[in-house]
Amino acid sequence: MDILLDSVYLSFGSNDVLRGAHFRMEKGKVTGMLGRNGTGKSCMLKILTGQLRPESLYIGVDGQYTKDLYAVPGLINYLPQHNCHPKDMRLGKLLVLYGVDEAAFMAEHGALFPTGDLRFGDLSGGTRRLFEVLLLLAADTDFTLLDEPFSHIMPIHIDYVRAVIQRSAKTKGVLVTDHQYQHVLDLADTLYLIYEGTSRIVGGREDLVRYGYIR
Amino acid sequence: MGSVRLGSVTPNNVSPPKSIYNLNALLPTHPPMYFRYARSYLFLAVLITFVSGCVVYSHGPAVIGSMLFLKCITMLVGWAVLRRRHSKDIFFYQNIGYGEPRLLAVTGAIDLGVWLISITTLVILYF
Repeated sequence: MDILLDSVYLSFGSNDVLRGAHFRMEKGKVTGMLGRNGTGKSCMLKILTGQLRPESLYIGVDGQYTKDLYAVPGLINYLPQHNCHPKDMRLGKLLVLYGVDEAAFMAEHGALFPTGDLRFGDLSGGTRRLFEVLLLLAADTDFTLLDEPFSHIMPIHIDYVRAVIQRSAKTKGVLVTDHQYQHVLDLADTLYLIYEGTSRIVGGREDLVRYGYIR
Repeated sequence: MGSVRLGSVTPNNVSPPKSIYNLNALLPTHPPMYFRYARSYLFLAVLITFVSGCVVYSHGPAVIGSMLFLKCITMLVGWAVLRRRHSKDIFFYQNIGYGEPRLLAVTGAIDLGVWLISITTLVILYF
């Protein structure tokens, strides 16, 4: 199963941000996306989630045109850069709403979140982020899109998140984009770099240097 | 992994967008979610319905058209406020199966329905 985003043309006034960019995610794989600030990386994610309508776009799920990925039940969930869950909602309630078994989740990650009775807003900033990432990965969707999942998370938990992403990618497709490129580089089965309005598949660190993403 | 699946897509049966057009999909699986989404709009909705009732009561059914126009305008304003207010947490609603068009449509339909029932009841009782 795959999601293909193709022929993406997006401009803001006279500024062409994306010129024929493409992107493919596969179930069972981690897909990474990197790009310098302002190259259209976040725009690609907004397009994928229907928040932004470009001039030209094709989205296909298994080769079949699909106008809105969110309209297909159980296909994707998306974590934006910022916290997006209600602060007054209990963790247990969030797990129920996402269709995640609370007991199983707590058994697996109980050391991080002692009880489901805590409210989301009671958690520290980093723990909130950690909970959101684990929550979306645990939800039974075919694809999970994570925008900067490692932000605000302390190093020991980053290793934990990386392990969970790798484990989750056995049963779903995971898209990861983050400025902590080393983690994305290590995790990704396929890595895209958004560069000069297009997307390029890159092989590794050398390519990132060649395209000026890192030195 | 979760034990309850929100929905499924089989590789050969990927349907085009459907949930917002499917009446079954509009049935609330978690009714409080609509209220959570629309609670900031509730005051405006109740206020305009109350004002419409008062004006119809004092001026008669002839002003119903104007009041309906007022209701529609304030509903559009309410939608704009809701969209702005939920610009950051809309992904939470979308992730659990509540698309923005669906949330706005249900909010508007309930608001307009309550308004219609209120005004109709008022006219039947007093005119």
